[in-house]
This record gives sequence, structure tokens and C-alpha cells, in this order.
Amino acid sequence: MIKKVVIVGGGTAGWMTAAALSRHLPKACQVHLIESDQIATVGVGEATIPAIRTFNAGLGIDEQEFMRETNATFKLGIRFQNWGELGEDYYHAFGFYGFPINDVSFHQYWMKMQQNSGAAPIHEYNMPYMASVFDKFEHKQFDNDSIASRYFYAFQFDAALYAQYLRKWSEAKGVTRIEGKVTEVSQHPDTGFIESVTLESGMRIEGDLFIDCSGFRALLMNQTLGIGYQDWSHWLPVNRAWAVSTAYENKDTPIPPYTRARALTGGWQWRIPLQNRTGDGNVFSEQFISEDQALDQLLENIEGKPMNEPRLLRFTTGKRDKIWHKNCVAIGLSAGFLEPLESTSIALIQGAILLLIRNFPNEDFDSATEHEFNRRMNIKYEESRNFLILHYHLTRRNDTDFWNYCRTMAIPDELKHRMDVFRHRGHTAHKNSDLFIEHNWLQVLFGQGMKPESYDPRVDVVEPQEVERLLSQMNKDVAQAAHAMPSHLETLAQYCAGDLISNRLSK
Amino acid sequence: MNNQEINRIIIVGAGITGVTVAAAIAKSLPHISITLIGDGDGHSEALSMLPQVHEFHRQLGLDEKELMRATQASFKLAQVYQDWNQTGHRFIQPYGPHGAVTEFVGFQHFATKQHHLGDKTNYAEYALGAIAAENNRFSHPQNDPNSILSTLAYSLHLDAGSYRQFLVDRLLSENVSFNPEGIVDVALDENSGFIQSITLENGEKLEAELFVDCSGKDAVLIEKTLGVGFEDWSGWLPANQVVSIAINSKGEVMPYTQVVGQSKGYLRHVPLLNRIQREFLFNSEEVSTTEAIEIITSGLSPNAISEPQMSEFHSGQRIKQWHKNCIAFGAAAGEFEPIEVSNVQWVQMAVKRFLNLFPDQRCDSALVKEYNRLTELELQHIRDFTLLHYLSVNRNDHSIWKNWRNLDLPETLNNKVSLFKVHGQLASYDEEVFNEGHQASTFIGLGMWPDGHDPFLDAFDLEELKQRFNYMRAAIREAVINMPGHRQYLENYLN
Ligand SMILES: Cc1cc2nc3c(=O)[nH]c(=O)nc-3n(C[C@H](O)[C@H](O)[C@H](O)COP(=O)(O)OP(=O)(O)OC[C@H]3O[C@@H](n4cnc5c(N)ncnc54)[C@H](O)[C@@H]3O)c2cc1C
Repeated sequence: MIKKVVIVGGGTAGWMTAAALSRHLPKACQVHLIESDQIATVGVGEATIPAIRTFNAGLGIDEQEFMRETNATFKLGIRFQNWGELGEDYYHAFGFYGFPINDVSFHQYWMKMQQNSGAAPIHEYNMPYMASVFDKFEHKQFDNDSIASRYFYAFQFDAALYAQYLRKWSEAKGVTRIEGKVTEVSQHPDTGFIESVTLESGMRIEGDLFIDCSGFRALLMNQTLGIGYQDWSHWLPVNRAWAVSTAYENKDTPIPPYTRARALTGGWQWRIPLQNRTGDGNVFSEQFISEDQALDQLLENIEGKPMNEPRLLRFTTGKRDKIWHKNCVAIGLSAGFLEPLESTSIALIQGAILLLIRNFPNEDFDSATEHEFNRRMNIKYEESRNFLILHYHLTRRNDTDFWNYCRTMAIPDELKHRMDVFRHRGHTAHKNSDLFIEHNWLQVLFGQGMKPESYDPRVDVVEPQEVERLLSQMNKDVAQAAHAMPSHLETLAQYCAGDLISNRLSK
Repeated sequence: MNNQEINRIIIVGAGITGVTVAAAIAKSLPHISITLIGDGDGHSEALSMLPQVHEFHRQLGLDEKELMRATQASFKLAQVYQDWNQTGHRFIQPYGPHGAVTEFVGFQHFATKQHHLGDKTNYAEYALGAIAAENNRFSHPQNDPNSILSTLAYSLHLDAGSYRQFLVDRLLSENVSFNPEGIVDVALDENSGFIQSITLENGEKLEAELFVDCSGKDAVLIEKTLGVGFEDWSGWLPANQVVSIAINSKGEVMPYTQVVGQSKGYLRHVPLLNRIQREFLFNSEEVSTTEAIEIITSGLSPNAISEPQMSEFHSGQRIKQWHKNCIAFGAAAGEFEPIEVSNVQWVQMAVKRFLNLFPDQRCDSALVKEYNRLTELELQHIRDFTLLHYLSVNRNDHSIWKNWRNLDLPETLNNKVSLFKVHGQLASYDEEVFNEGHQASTFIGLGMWPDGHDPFLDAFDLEELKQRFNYMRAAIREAVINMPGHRQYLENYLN
């Protein structure tokens, strides 16, 4: 049995891993985490997808406390501006379009009705979309039978505070934190397994299993074990980001329950609303626009005063060739980075932790366990990648070289297949292992203007008047339910907010 | 409506496969006119289904009672393996779960840990479905999650001939017709290679936009006409012939299908209300027909049984299930030993997938590709899961078992077996038919205990877990005592 796990790196990945392992591993196994104050964390991962709640719930975290301590807000989706074409606006919201009728998906009926203009825009049948446009949010558990509770939510939070929160939590569970910079790694002369790491101070830390959470540098996986990197930048060409924190303009500035992703000329800009500020950033491809231009764009577009010096982050989109090798597992940026558009990084961290837990090695490090972990992680990365590429490729924009490149680039066969399946009759080529499932794909496909040639013929079995009646009922129900919801601000104030929010409400 | 929609379908083969496909299409797309060519085969098979059968019936709007009355049906809680690894070995594979998952940790880990500590408790004792089956009891599952009866899951045993007739009676409308004539010619479009029409023995020529090949192993359209090949799995799955008889039975009805290992193959017993269908599966190079008949009739009084019926099958899969405007189902699309999944069950799952991707006249290649991709994954899982049952067989008495042991396994199965051996985890793939708990209990039932258990189990207090699961075993025993006998339940329910 593994007696000692050593985690190198104390960013989001490091502390999420430490927390989960300390929560679930038997007491006989120690968890150590090494982090260096000299090396900053990336710390801009602020937007999440609903899967994060499973992670937090698995730890037994109190949601209200966690939200208060990380300045968190609720997230119902992402608002995409200027993606299909300049001036267009759509949401990828965490919920479904309407209800299926006779086991056939709602959107199939909508496609038929919409041909005869007998339907509202498709997102108006989607609860979290309607709540988002009115900046509303009600804290509810998902209920598939009730249109008013048929949505999921995630969070927008301060990543540095989340790491701190998990650190406190993990230390209380017995995780040993060691401050110091790793300068040397020693390996077994025959097997190449990592035996220990040595800090600048000379302190040597031995372990059975090493988790590389050292960020982009991949200290153990790359620098020590020499595992290479698959460069995906021909598909996801963004490679830089400027990030800044921004104050709300005034206390009436709304706090939307969604993240905004506005497409620019050589990339896109995020705006993530927290309780006390927004996080903003311009993600771009330096091949198409210069770092200076990108910074100017960022500062022009933010809606309040910057609270700190903008930071430049450099990266290459892609994935490490192997994520588990010998007695080392890479989690977080050391394993790969796609890009932040759909907030997949934290979800992939969580996915890796869960798979590691499910396939936790024994002291023999059986190759079957490593193989299964790598196989499943590859699928997760590739499917997230394909979903991201879709956003760039499915555009009609031809106003800049960047968009021309994305629109015309060659895409992975699997993504092409999925688009072809959709193009014909609006079906989604489904995979069980997906991070994103049918409703996520549909929203981006429809949102960016793809129109299937025809619809599922089973739709014609239901009388058109009946379809019309059902659709208009759903549309009404969604609007009513959204209308009845409290505002996002009110929910925050009542559920989890600190002073800032209370001040906002007391005018 | 798109003006290229399909309006006419010809199904070649009117056996249980053809009728199943016709019924499903007619229910979902009633405007399509469907012609079934050929006659229904006269096999008096008994079908042993999976719990997925309920979903199919629900979609067709069939009432369980009515259907069961018409098909001499019985309930199926489990599959029981007797004399499988060797004589005397027995295990029960229920459809409901064993024990309960503790947070992330599957129940098999607790059982594995206990096993290595010397606990000899039979794994079946942690599953209500298994113990009820063992005692010939049955009851429908209950919804209340606090009741142990909520852990039951069941399926059905059906008489194939009357099931086919039931589907014919209920579902076929004025848009569905039968034509018993044989086919003499098939015409293709010169440019597209699509099938245009078929000509029957009486000279009649029938056109359609979509052709469904349900002609069994003859594969009249998909292979004989379109030339799509077949991937042979007989190296992996050695049985290729089955002989079957019906045994009259008025006694208690087993709520399970029984599989009995023999030196030269294996027997299956599928219980219906008043008969047990017995099959013997073997390899025809190893066992002669006469010998097979001797084996299957041994110990039975000739008055109590029907004439033995022989049929061949060939394990493998069609390289493409769907090609151009022709799609194959049933034996024309693939065959495998019915140890866990019957071919009819597979047809139901496949036709549902087909309806979800229903094409227009052009049979768009993306849809075809997607259907074939998913079907291949599913078949691969069925093949691997069937094959898994052979891995533990420890008989030296005949070469059907001996030759088998040195084979190279498919990579997907190898991954599964070697991962499970480490500490009881399951490699998982898309489109699997059986969930992890079911797969784990098969491994364990076959005696393939993992070397270790999930280390995360050790975070829980073992004594507490033991108490909890002992309590569960007691609750299971008590529930079974209060359950009615299967025949009694059937008589009450169906009257
Ligand atoms: C522009 C951008 C935007 C993003 N937006 C999102 C988002 O909205 N949502 C989302 O989910 N994700 C987002 N991400 C990703 C997210 O930030 C990361 O996945 C997350 O921060 C995890 O990073 P990490 O812990 O792997 O690495 P880091 O944060 O880089 O942490 C590395 C750690 O390793 C330590 N370390 C390194 N070398 C040594 C050494 N030699 N000795 C000791 N310690 C060492 C450092 O001290 C640090 O603690 C974004 C990323 C970028 C670049």
C-alpha cells in the first residue's frame, strides 16, 4: 500500500488534490504538499462548470461558507458575444431546451415549428437562459420534472481564495504543507521511479507516489521524466492572456449570474463577476495581434477601474503525452492546458483526481492502472478540446485574419463527424464519457448559427397544433418561472454574502 | 417536412427480428409503409431478456400483463451458472445490485477485502435478486428507496413464437403488409449503388427507399447483394451449434435462466409458464448431432419433451451494420452466444438507436457512420463480456475448453481483466450494456477475485461496514421469506 503521497505545487490543482486525497485516503497514508512562495500560482481560474459541486460535496464542504470565503457568485452559464458573427449574442446556459415530447428531443420540434415561424427563439425555452438575461438566480436543486428547477449551476470565485480555503481544510485533515522550492529530483537508478525531491534548503522529501501540480513547468513530468507535450495550437491558436481584476463601477452595477466571453479581433475577453470585483482578461493569439495591442483592448473593454497591474500569461494549448508515468501523475496545468473559454481546467483537474481515486495504485504500480487512467484522461482532454475548437471554427466572421484562420482551419476528424451528424438532422453524436453532453453541444451549435437541413421525422407524428400548444406552454412556463425568481444579488445576500453585497442592497 | 423522407421500407425476413424492427418503426413513424418479405421462422425458442426489455415495451406502449399472458412469460431476476468453472461450481448473477456503494467505493471492494481475510460469505447473499431467485420467489421492485425491495431489478422470459405473434397483432397496421414470396432478384442503382427494388418469385417487383436485412445468417441484402463482409469471432467464441427441446413443466417456475456447464459445451434452461426450454450449445466439430441429442435428452422421459431442433450460428459481426440504404439487424448483423445477451434483446437495442438516427432517402453518410460506430462499440462489449465467462473455466475434460485457454484476447477485454485483477476496478467504455456492479459480480462469481481492494476502502471502519452489510443480509433473508413463490405470483398477477 502507498504510504506517502507527495504533491509538488500549491495552486488550485495542488490543493484540490490534497483535499480530495486527505478526505478519502486511509489515515495510514500521509499526504505532503510542497509549494514555493517564490513561484507564483496562475490563480486566474475563476469560472467553473456545475461538476465542481460534486467535488465540493464529496469533500463535505459547506457551500455557504465556501462561497463566503471565496467571494463566490453563482454561474448559470456563459454569454458569448460576437462569436457566430459580429453583433451576435448567445448563451451556453446550464440547462435544457424545453422537454422531450414522445421521447424525441425538444429541439427537433422546435426546428420544425421555427420553419413556419411558429416558435420563439430556442433559448427562450431554456430556464437558466431566461434567468440569466434578467440577472436572476434562485438557489434550487435540479428537478427534471419541474421546468422551474430544471437547471444546474456552478460558481465564479476567487481562485486564490479557493486554494487557501482548501489549504485550511486539508491541513485540518492532516495534510503536511512544506514551504520551499524543489531544486533536485532523484530517481531510482534502475526503474527511473521518483524517490525523493530536495528543496533549496537541503531538505529531502521521500515519497511513494508523486503528484506533479507544478503548473506549466511540469517539474516532475517533463523536466524529470522527460514526458513530451502534444501541441494543439494549430487547432486552438490562442497562446497568451492578459489578466486583471476590476472594481465594479458603482454599487448599482449588476452582478450577472454568468461569465461573459466577448470575441475580439485576435481572441476573446472574459469578464467573471465575483462578489467584490470582476476578473477580466484578454486571451489572444500573439501570431495575430501583438501583446501591446491586446493589453490596450483589454483596458478599453473593462467596465470599471483596474485594481492591479495586468499580468501576462504565456501558454501553448495542448496535452502532455502521458499524464501518468511510473510513480508520477500530472494534475492541472502540468498535464495540459486547453484555454479558458468553457472553464474546463478545473473540471479536468477534478476529473483527474476522481480517476486517480478510482484507480489508486498499490506499491507495485501495476501498468493496468496507469493504462486505464491515461486512456480515460486522453478521452477527456480530446473531447473538451473538440468542444472548444467548435466555438472558433463555427463562425461566419471574416473581419480579421484570426477569424479567417479559425473558420477555414482543418479540424479533428471526430469533431468534423459530430458537425456532420448535426448538420443533417440536428442529432448530436453522443459519447458517454463526455464532459459536455447533448444540451451543451446544442447550445453552441445553434448559438453559433448552424442550421440542420431537416429534423427528426418522428416529429411529424404529433399534430402541429399540439406541438404548438406544448411549445407555447413551455415558453410561458419558463418566462413565468424566471420572472418569479429573486435577483442574483438578493440570493447572494441571503445565502452567502459578505459586507459588500449587504452594502449594495442597503441603499 | 423534407421531401426526401422515406415512405417505403422493405424488410427482408419476417421472423422475430423482422417483426421487432417493423413494430418499432411502425410505432414511431406510422406513415411509412412497411412490407415484410418471407415467412416467420417456425422456431419455438424461449427468449431470456435483459431489464432493457421494459424500455422497449414502454416505447411501444405494451402492457406487461397482457404481453405476459400472451407469451407464456415468466419473470427473470437473475442468471444462474451451475457447474461452470468445474463441476459443483455455482453462482447467481442478479440484475439488481449487490450490497451498496460506499461513497466512491464499489461494493466489490468490501467483499474482496473480506474474502482475503477469510470470510466465506457467498457474494450472492448481498443481493436480494439473487436470494429471491435461489428460493424461487418473486415480487415487483418497489419505488420506496428505504425498502429493500427497491433493489430488485427484473426482466422477462418469453416464448419467441407467441411474442412475435403478439407484436404482429398489436402493432401492425394498414401500412404494414406481409409477403411470403421468396426473392429472386435485387436491383441496384447504377450510380449510387443503393438498392432500388427486389423481385419476388411470382415476378412481382417491389420498390422502396430503405431496405432492412433481417434475413438471418443468409444476409441476403447486406452480404449477398452489397458484399459487406463478416468479421469472424469463432476463434474466441467456440460454440457454433445449438440443439433445443421443450420440457413440460407444471411445477414451480424458476425466476432465472440457468446455464449449466458440461464437458462438451453447456446447457441453458429458460423457464416459461408451463415448459422449460432447454438448449445445448456446442461446437459441431467436437460433438456430433447424435451425441448432442443424447446429451440434451439424457434423463428425460420422451413423453415430456418435444422433438429436438438444431440450428447453427456463427459468432462474429458484420463489418458494417448499415451500408448505403440497407441496414441489417439480428443474425444478419452479428451473432454471439446467448450466455448473457440474447440476439433479440440486441435487436431491440439496435432498432432504438436506428430510430434515433433515422435517415432520409439519401442515407447521409454521417448518420450511417455514427450508427455503425455506436453499434460496433456495443457489440464489442457484448463479445468481451461473453468471452469473460470462458476465462475461468477450469475443465480438462474436453478440447472445446482446452484449446480455448491459449487464445489472445481482444485488447479491450485484456484491459478489463488485468485492471480488475489489480484491485477490483473496471475499465469502462462507451455503449456498455452492463453496469460496473454487474460486471464486478460476474468476475467474482467466476471466482476471479481481485488481488487487492481499493485502498480508499480502508478509510472506512471495517467493523461498521461489516455490521451494516450483515444487517443488509438479514433484511434480504427476511424479505425473501415474505415474498410469494414465483408461480403463485404469476398466477395472481396474470389473472
Ligand atoms: C488565462 C487563463 C485563464 C484561466 N481561466 C480559467 C477558468 O476560468 N476556469 C478554470 O477552471 N480554469 C481556468 N484556468 C486554468 C486554471 O488557472 C488552472 O487550471 C489552475 O490555476 C491550476 O493551475 P495549477 O495549480 O496546475 O498551476 P499553478 O497555479 O501554476 O500552480 C503551480 C504551483 O507549483 C508550485 N511550484 C512550481 N515549481 C515549483 C518548485 N520548483 N518547487 C516548489 N513549488 C513549485 C508553485 O509555487 C505553485 O504553487 C485559466 C488559466 C489561464 C492561463
